[in-house]
Amino acid sequence: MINILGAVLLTVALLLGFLWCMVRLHGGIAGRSTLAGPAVERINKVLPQTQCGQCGYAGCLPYAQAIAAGENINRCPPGGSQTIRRLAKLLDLPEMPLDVSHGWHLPKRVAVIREPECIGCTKCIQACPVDAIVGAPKLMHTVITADCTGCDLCVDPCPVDCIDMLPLAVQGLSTIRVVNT
Amino acid sequence: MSRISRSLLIKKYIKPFLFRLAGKPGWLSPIYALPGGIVPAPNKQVSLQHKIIGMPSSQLPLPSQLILPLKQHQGDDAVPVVRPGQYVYKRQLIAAAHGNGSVNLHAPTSGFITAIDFQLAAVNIRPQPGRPWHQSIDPRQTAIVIKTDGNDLTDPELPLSPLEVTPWQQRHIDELRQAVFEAGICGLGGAGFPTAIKLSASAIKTLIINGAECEPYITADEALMREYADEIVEGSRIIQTIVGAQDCVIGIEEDKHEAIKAIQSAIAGLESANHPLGGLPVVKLVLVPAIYPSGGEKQLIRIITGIQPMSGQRPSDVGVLCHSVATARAIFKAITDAEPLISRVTTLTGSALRNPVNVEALIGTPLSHLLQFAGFDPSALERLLVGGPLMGYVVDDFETPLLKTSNCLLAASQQDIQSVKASSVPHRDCIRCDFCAPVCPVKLQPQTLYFASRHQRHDSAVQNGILDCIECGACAAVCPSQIPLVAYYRDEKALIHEEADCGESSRWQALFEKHQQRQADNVVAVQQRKLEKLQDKLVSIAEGENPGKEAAVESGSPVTHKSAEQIKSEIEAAVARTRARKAELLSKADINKDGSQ
Ligand code: SF4
Ligand code: SF4
Ligand code: SF4
Ligand code: SF4
Repeated sequence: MINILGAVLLTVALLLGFLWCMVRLHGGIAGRSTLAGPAVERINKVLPQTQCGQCGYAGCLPYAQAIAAGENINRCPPGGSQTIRRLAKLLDLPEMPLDVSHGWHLPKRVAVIREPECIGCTKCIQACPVDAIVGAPKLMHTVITADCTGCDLCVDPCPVDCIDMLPLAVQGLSTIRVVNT
Repeated sequence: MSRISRSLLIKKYIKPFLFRLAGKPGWLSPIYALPGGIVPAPNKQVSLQHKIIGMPSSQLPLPSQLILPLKQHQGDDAVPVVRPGQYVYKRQLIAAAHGNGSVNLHAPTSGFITAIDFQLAAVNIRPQPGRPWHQSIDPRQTAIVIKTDGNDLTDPELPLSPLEVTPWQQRHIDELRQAVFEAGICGLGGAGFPTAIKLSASAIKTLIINGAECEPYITADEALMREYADEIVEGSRIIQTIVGAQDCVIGIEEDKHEAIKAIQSAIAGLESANHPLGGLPVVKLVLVPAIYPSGGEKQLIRIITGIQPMSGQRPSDVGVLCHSVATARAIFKAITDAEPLISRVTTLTGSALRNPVNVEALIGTPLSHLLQFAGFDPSALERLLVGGPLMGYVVDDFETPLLKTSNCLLAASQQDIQSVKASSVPHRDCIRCDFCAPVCPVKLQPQTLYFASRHQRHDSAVQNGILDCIECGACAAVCPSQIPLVAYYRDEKALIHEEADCGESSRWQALFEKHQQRQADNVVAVQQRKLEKLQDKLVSIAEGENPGKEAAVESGSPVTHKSAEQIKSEIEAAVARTRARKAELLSKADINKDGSQ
């Protein structure tokens, strides 16, 4: 009698254990590798959309896809620790420090073209990922400040170096620079 | 749990009732019970052993530099009105209010401006792996840095010297309000709402001066009430005059005995003096039970007046205005001494400090300077908080400056953190025990908010009232899974605001998508145009025209020697190349599209 009861109990326990393992295993597998479309969208929403490419991907969406496929979450300098924390929370991963080999986290800046110096080469227009620069060949260009993400991509292509990245807060006070005394 | 509930019950209902029956002073007017609340260990005595220590003084010298972020308040940044290299006097305006809800900023002492820039020292905070979730102060701000010269000089030509100030009773209300605005005062209790805006509210019936400093460890307001009761009461009367309130109530937690005595005698002194409102007892003292968080603005209003401002309503919408005692004193100083807000009383406490004390420190003092003064022991530090253990922010960089809103600096050891149950071990999952709901003073359902925040479901979070959460941390303090709930709520609120306020990142995303689409279309279109041109040429050659001729004549170069046949075959080769390129691009574009979907 006791033997039969014991056997039944054992079977039930084993069965439960097996089911539990299945659930855990399934949860484990379903972890990150199978994150489908909506997850990529949610990850992308957390990314700052600066589109600067510093993470090593062609923009925020490709990086979001890469994260969904298992890439580290600490490659986005514009997002900084804030974004890392949000990603960590969203994906239930441990927080990690920003990988500064991709760049330091800096406060939001915007591109400002020193207009008298612009030769109208249109190179910055081609570089801008969000079409925030307006101008025409051989005519002065300027940046739509409200649209500029501060990605820095227009600075290098400019042949006459007339683009400054200025902190947003001191717009219009561009003469202020650090004087280290 | 049960013990806490019992003491809560006694504090909330039985004691006020009995004291009122017995006619104890301070308990005479009816008070209303606060929903929820907890009774954490107060830990306040340690920092009340000494008097407030001023700065600069022999004990507490000036720091070598002051860092003054342009945003010390809610609202837009102030705009610098000084240049690097310039000499500024104490009390001189260095950044002017600009835009919505902005406040002025003044030089706390004399010295040279060394920089107006982002404080890079504070920029590169690195979160440590494995640290629990909690939000840190974000010190990446434009700040004005002043290198102090140690002379603490006031401009000899300052328009208003304290001696010339007319007594406030003889000044017009608008002039008083203007003086408060110019002094750059914002709410000193923590939220930092510009005081001048609050003072322009109309139809205020009751003015409440908040002395119910309920969070453990913090004693800045209590010390202020003990030592500057007269100034607080006088400041309260100035506010009352400006807003035209009928009643002025100073609400203090019942366990602050010395502060209560000091305020009582200040009020008595006022009543015996002959004041312009005709000898009415205009300032009233009301004691409130020492329950956390009775010092929250809406909570205190509810306790004292029984009025509960609705979700999204400001207290002024229901005819009540609430200012902290520290703000009342700042207003007093602004009006009677023409002194802008350049210093504040802040509590230095926590087990990692050997000499906990209250100091009146200059705004912009690096925290390291204050820590050092209070006998900082880095080995005992678990984390440094600006604010109390329940609502404070974690600071990683000790060079972060003291702000107008920093009421406490808690150098917490492991033991301090344990005492409020905000452990640093990674938290466990929510077990749906529902301990958190009954303590919430706003009657929210914290666990629902937690799940919404954790999964960043903004709609659900908003529907469940996350925007009404006062971030008091009562829920987190009772959570057996030690979930730092408030950190989750703060992140979620920040996300919600980010999306609602500017939608910056979603706009950028849309712009980027458009840009990509246009580029893809463009490449194909260019090839298409090339193809069409070449085909036109082929047709014209077939019709016997020489395509090279016109061009050659125009440019003035010798006539081409190529035969029509040669040109035709060259063009055909080009057409084939272009076709191939176009096909390749099209297939690539398709792959891209598939990849991004
Ligand atoms: S670094 Fe960040 S902002 Fe820049 S493209 Fe990558 S994800 Fe986007
Ligand atoms: S203007 Fe320059 S910095 Fe701004 S988004 Fe365009 S490329 Fe980036
Ligand atoms: S932190 Fe928010 S949810 Fe939690 S008890 Fe306080 S008000 Fe309620
Ligand atoms: S107290 Fe903590 S564990 Fe319990 S229901 Fe609330 S969040 Fe969940």
